[in-house]
Amino acid sequence: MNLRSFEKFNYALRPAKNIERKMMCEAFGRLSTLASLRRYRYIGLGGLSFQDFALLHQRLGVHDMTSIEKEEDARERFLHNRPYSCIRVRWGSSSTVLPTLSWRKRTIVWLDYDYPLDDSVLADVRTVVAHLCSGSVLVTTVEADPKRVKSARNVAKARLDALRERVGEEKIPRGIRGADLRAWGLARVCREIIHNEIIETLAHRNAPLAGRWRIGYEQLFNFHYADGAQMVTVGGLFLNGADRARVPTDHFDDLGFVRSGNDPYHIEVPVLTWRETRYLDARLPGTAAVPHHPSWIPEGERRKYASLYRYFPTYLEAEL
Amino acid sequence: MPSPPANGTQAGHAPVAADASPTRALFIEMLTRDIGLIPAIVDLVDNCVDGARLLRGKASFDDLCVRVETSPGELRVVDNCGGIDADVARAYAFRFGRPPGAPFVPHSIGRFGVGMKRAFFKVGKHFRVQSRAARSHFVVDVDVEKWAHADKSKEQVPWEFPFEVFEENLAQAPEDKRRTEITITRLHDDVADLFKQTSFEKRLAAEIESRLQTAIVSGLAITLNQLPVDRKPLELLDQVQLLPAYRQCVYGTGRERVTVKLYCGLGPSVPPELAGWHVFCNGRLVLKGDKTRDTGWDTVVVQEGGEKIPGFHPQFHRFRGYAYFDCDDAGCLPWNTTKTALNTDSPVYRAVALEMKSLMRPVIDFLNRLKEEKQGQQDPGEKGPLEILVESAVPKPVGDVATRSAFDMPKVRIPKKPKGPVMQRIQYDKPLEQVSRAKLALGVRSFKEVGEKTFEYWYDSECPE
Repeated sequence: MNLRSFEKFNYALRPAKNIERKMMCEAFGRLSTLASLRRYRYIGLGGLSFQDFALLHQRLGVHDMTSIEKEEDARERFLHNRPYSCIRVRWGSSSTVLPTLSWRKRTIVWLDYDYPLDDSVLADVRTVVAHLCSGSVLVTTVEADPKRVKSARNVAKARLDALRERVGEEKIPRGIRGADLRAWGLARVCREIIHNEIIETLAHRNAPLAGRWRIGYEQLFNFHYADGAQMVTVGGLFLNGADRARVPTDHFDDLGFVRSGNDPYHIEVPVLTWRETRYLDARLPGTAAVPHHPSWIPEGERRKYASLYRYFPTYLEAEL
Repeated sequence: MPSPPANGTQAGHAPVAADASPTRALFIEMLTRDIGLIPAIVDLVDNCVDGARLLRGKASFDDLCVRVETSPGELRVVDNCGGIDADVARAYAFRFGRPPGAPFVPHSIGRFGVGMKRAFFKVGKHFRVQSRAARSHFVVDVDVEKWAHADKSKEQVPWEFPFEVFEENLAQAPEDKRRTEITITRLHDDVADLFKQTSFEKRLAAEIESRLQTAIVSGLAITLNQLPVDRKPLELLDQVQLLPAYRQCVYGTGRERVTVKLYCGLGPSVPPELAGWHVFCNGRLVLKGDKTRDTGWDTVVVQEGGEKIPGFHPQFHRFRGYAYFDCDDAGCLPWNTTKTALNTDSPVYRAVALEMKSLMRPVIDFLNRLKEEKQGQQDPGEKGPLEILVESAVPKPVGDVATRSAFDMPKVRIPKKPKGPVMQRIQYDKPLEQVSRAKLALGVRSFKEVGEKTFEYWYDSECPE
């Protein structure tokens, strides 16, 4: 279906990413059952805007924050843009910096890459999973856009070859064909590869440990979204026996976006005006999504909005 | 239908069981097939080291010695490391495999109960073991061929090596009189040939030196054909910005507690065989300069000409990793029976390998950066700041170098090189005839230029700036 121009969102504002960030933040808040969030550390992959850092500091009170930033040439600019003084910047690539960090503290790590899954991403995942302590969270975001393959005779094969080149043959799950990588298929396979890496690393790490010291992984996030390129985010919680007992099994169940398996939560951003969102807000939670009400806002948009209105960003142009 | 009697026999018939007992000849064949001659001889010296451990514990091995002598006619290994108690010899030392209840030597390097016998069979057809321990003395003398074929008769022959002399409850011998002497004669032809070669002697000396360096450092004097086997210390670069990473991990409890010490950093660029990981179990070198997947090299990927090539590359010649596994119970350590390879499936090793990989990465990143720096120099003789730093560093023995929790990129001012656009190689195949015509039409000399010019032609017309 071709969208008319008023039905398109301005994706430069990255609304899906904004929603994803807030959803994850709400889930992180539930970690308080293990320890005050004040005692957690956050590690992120920098950027000039530091939006994830600002959110976790404002909403959860996380104080110990490390941003890994590879653009050392713009050192002063990055330091100037830090929204809070508690954010430390470690200069270098994630693969260079992650192995040098101490991992004694419970940590929320968000490896938020803006490029496709490759062996360096998997190496970072391995480094983190090999070291983070119980009660920690690892979230990984990668681009998973199959892209249009121009002028290749066999598009499916070209896609599979590209993935094989990036991650290596042995990481690709058995039975995957090139045709499986179209649309959101690549995102599904990327989630599986990252998940397998986590499970395999944990198996090695746990091998010599007695039962209660073994660390288990529980997936919480499996987001698909596209503010432009298609992206996949996969993440979850790492718990040993003692911490496992402190987190009720249904602890995250009421968060509608939590996904423990291969079926993703699609962040679909409704295209609505500010007046329309106000109108719907006044009827939520409740009747806004029912089919016949109100008919001048398309039902599909109403349903999308009802599923994520608590996280929906409002953008206003302001002259300051 | 009546069920067969529980004891496995049926009335009036022979027992219902097939004979599965091994033949001695098969045993000898199997034992010796998977070990080289040098590791087999080093195994004999390992037993001397275990004797020294039993005698002295963790104290110094000063005044203890092992003499190894090879000649075209025999191999002799003589030590003064406490002797083998006659009781132990009768019940355990000559058994194939380590029976439960065998005497326990903490931090031993003998574990499986095959090394000594396997070495006898590997080297020759006759062996003689004489030992004087604190209060006992024995001699065992065996013709291997006779022994191997003694079970050809139908009768059950017990698996034994008869004692020629067996004396117990003797007067206490002073420590320096307790000794063991092993002599193997009627050497196999290939062994006798090797014993004539000086290159073999050199290789054997090098193996003893590297495999048993911890014992040599503790004061054990080892000689090969009267010349001492000295230790060349393993080294790491000592420079405040290049200090190695050090990590200690502990797994298990009690006698099965495994302590692992890991060092990872830089060393001299030569010799290349020292680059890689060195893995020790209870002080015994198991892997020397390993550059394979076993020690995590499959996770190292180098970009060359747009291609990713995993594994060790010459730019990593300065890489040094040392992993020391230590446990009271040698059975908990991740080595195979020949002590020449790791059991990479062992639970402890699987966990430690993760640590090794994470310690490696910053060192690998540094060595890649060092290579980039060298390639970026206009004048090949010119040295960049990283190279100057590395060359100014002095190598020191592992234990004498300060360490840190992780290797980190040195903070040096690296002059920026002028950046050109990021390049991408394109490759494709087209019929030769067409390509040749294009070459002619373009007036160029190489196919590379055909590719470049046709791309430029297309780009200028279809992708205007």
